[in-house]
Amino acid sequence: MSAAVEVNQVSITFNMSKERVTHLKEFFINLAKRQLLYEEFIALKDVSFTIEQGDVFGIVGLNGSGKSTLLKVISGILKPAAGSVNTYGTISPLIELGAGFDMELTARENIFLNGSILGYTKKQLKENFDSIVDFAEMWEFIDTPMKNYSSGMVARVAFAIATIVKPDILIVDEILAVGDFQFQQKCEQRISQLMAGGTTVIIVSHSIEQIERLCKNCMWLKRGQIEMIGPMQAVCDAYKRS
Amino acid sequence: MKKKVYPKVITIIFTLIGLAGGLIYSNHERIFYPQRFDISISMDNVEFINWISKGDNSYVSQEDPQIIIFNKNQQTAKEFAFLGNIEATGDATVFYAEGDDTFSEEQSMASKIDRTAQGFAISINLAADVFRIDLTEEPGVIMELSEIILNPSRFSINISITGMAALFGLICSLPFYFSLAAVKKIPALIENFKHFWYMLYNLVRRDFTIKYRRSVLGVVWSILNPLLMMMVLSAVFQTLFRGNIENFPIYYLTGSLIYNFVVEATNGAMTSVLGSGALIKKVYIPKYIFPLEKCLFSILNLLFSMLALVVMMFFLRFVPNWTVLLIPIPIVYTFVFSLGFGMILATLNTFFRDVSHLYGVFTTAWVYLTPIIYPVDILPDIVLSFVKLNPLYYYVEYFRQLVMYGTVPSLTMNLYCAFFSLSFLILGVAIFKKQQDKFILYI
Repeated sequence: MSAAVEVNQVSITFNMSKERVTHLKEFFINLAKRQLLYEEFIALKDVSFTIEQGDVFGIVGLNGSGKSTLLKVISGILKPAAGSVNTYGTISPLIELGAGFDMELTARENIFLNGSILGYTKKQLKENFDSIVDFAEMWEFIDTPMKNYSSGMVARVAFAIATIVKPDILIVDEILAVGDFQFQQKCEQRISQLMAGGTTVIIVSHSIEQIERLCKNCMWLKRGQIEMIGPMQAVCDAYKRS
Repeated sequence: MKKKVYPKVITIIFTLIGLAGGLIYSNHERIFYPQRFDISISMDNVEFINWISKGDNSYVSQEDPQIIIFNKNQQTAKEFAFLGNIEATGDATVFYAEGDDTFSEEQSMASKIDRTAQGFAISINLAADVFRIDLTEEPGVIMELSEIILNPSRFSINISITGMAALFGLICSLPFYFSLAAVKKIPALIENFKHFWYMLYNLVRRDFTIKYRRSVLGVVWSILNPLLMMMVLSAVFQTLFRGNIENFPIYYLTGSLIYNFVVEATNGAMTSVLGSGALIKKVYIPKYIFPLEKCLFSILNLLFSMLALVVMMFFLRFVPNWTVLLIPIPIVYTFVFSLGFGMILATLNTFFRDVSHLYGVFTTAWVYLTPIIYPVDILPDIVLSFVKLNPLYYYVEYFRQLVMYGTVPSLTMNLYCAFFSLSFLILGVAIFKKQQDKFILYI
């Protein structure tokens, strides 16, 4: 088994000035007062781990423990202040469903827009258009502007687009919490299908049952550091006890 | 620490070299041909007609007073400096003639009498054997005159050349901020771009759809808008202020199309990064896509707006020369400039939101610094030298030459345009690239 994601000693710090300086006036006043020194907030500290290909990797932790930040680093959205991240293969990040949707546009237009943002080619999108709409069950409203959609409908379209072409690495952040019971089941089915096809999946969830149901390995983050990493059952048990 | 100081030193040195080069160029004749300057003219070569000498270098004018100067040393007369003083105000008349020719109205020009510290001076810029200078036409004017100097040497600054040379020095130093490794990455960048072109297409398409979705006339507004604007301004400037520009509607449209394109593209690019904040936070996208997309979208609008020009030409029965076929060239120049400038603005605006407010004021000033509603030749020289620092001046002029005057712009013109476009692009890309990883923290 070769690695799909390698994270080497990654640290992320955010500048937390009391109020973020976004005005020239403040900038010069603070410069004059020599108060441009920021308070630093360490979101991730020296995190290293490797995820094997085909693994389903869960990340658990309390709010603010750095889970989402870590996913953003893996998907390339955030550049780490120190350390490095290597990923092998295409990444489909489901950090938040519907990022890149323009609510003024119809679902049909958004499928092409969002699909191209996620890196699909024109050919891939044209070929898979029908199956995307099928999966989202959205034929009825395909030419309605998406601002008239409910959040569940938006989530269905977004999930359908993100998973239509088998990515090498799928990153899932809390998204299974939206949508109705039926749709959640459908999503889990799709994820299982992808897993069977060899896709590496990284899941962040507060629902410990979901992690237990889907994952093989698991990591517990606490205040930006790895508290525990290993087979799912052991980590989950320790996390539940804490 | 040393690594950071080193390119800055180079920047300062290069800029100073550019500045010095510009200054030397401004004064190059004075430096390399000193014999052409500060030539004292012997009083033997000067005749005073109808000026009565009162002794003590003082003269009083009679009816039709003239000063005849024989230019024995054959130098081009740029300027005559008169040491002394004169009461006369207003313009002097200068006649010039070769050999034994007589003075005629055809070979004459009006020239202002400039006051200097030691006396007064008259600019001429002509080569001739004999000059006749009528400082005044009235009798009884008192003049003191001790010496006449041909081409007094003065330190001069050609603002546009010097400014550009300094800027060029600055730009030349930018590559020192990057290591050679950056050059090796270029093929990878192109590959990267190929991957994202389809996304670019879809983003432009989105902007287009949204812009015209809810209006009845849709795209027609892109044509109607400049036409209506032109009617208002034609009414104001041609009727009220009695402007005397031939084919004013076309003159205005050629200027405003380019100006509006630049303003729309830079404004779009400036807010593009902030406006796509939601996307940047959630998906990995190369951030240069956003300003690029806005500039491409503006090009699309420009193409539609150009139909207004076609409509107007049809109405005025104005038949353009074949040179109109070359208009993609100024559009490319302007596009590259807008992209570079837009990237600078986008970077600044992400860190300081004030920039977008300030830019509104700036663009208003920009209209007046660009010859859109007024002809270039009404500008005084000093203002013109500032206007010539404005890149838009060249793009508008280029576009007008092709469309209105039917001439092919000179090589110098092309160099100016290319210089401004490339400078802004390099500067924009350098600033944007350096800061883009920090954007996400400020959105």
